[in-house]
Amino acid sequence: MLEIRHLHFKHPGAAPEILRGVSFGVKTGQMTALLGPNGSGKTTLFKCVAGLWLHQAGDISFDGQDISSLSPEKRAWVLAVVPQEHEPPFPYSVFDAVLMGRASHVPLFNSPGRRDREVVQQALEAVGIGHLHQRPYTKISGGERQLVLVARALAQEAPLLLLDEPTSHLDFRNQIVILRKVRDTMRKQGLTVLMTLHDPNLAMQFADEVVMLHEGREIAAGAPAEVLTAENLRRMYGIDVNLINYNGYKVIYPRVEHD
Amino acid sequence: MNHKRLTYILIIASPFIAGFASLFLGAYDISPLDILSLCLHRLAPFLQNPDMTKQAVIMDIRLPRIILAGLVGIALSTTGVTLQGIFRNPLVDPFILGISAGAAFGCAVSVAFIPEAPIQITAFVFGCAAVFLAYFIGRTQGEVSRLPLILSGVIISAFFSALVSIVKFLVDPMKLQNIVFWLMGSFSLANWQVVKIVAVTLTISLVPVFLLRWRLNVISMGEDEAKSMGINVRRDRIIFITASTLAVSVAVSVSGIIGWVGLMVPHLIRMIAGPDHKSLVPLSMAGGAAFMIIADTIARNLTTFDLPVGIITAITGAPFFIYLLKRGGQESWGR
Repeated sequence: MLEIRHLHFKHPGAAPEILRGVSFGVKTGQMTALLGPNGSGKTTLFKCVAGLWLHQAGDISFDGQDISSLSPEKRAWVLAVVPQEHEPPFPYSVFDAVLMGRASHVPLFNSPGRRDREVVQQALEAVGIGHLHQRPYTKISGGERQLVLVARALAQEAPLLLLDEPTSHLDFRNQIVILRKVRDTMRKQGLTVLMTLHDPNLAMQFADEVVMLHEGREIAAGAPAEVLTAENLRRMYGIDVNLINYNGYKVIYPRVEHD
Repeated sequence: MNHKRLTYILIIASPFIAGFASLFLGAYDISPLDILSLCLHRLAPFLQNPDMTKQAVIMDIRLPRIILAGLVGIALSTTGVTLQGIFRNPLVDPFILGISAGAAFGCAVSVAFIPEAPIQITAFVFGCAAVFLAYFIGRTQGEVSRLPLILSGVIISAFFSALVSIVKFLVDPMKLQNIVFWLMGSFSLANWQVVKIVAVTLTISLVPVFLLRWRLNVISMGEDEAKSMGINVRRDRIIFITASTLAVSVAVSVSGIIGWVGLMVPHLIRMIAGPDHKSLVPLSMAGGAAFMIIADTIARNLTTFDLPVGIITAITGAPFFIYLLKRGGQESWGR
């Protein structure tokens, strides 16, 4: 279980605190979505958990071990990050791009060996892009590139996956494809997932738990159907929403005034 | 697969082929027979008396010069590849980042004012100063973006070139001539002593780069990503930058400023063999050596004078850079 307790963060020199005592837990084997509007501290929290920014107070632990003081290599054994898809400067092949995920398992003066290649092959097949392995990473679609990054994180063989808005650059179809792949692999491999999301409807459909962030604090955490209420959503996003029940799902529908 | 292998073997063999061919090209005629007789004489000294002049031309003039050109080619192209990888910027090389200018200033200071200081040491000190200045100026908001890094390299280059001008202005005319000629970039002063110094320093500086080369792939994905994949980016960057600067400083101290090689060679190799640094680094080493040997052979045979090879590389480098810009567009400049 990933536990975040009383986390405080502010940029050095800047006045306002971005995180003001956030606390929540991410249960092992579950997918937890972190929701919050721009400026709520979602990205900051993500960077703190990923070990890229150092918080001033509070702690982050995984299975009882404090992970914020680990070296990059040891942290990489615990958690793997899936960044937003982007174009790299050099056209590495898909296989070579996923192989990079093995960096924390390759000794300093070595290059990846046979076992690393096998793990990469399995990771590619786990997300269903084994056929792309020779293609240049720059010449595939955005959705495929996001899958490559998921495969890269899987190749890292860490029990915890962190996804940074995995759907933000993707079209309607690929958003669903990616989240489904992530959820299936998570179930199959017994991983724990924490991801930031923009769309509360995706959280409603895919997440086991939701954490709602507002002005640097969590305002609600729990099963999506319970915490994604019209009241909480209005408080978090500052807009009125309707919730429509459909086939046991709730659909969140922003109220738009038409003249 | 086989085709790929053949390409690799050809690239690795290219400096040896170029070097061997270069032995026969020059103002003094040397034939393959002369080489054969020289080898025979070395193996069995009692057999025959070779032509002493020819022996001197081969052993004391051409061979050290070819080997030195090869070594400097290795230094410049390997550092080009390394810097492009760690700064995730296909448009940088030691010349563009100002390392060459910094090292040149170090050499000029040593030649002009403090002859007791070894030229390689002063070159290294100012080379380091130049690259770390360029790095910190070009670094904005935690990442080193492409355009700011190139601009800060331009600034640092201009700054150290101005300092070199001050040295030139102050120094006595005899030394001035040396400095000016050496700055143009030339291998005409090659001898075995110089070859030894360069070979030893290059081994020290490039062995770590060679061993760590696969990590350049990971670092080229960006600082945050590399860090989250378990790389100690700061430590690895310092190793790569220091090693590169040492290699470039030594190259500059023996042959002056030879620009563009570190940019052109890695690009050509990347087009042929792909961007994976595991193969890119060794192939660029071989390609750089071959390129430099060929460029120097052209430089000393093109006219009756011994042209500085730096002029040849600059004349080919500028159009190459323009071509990269026009072809790559968004890909080269990026964000």
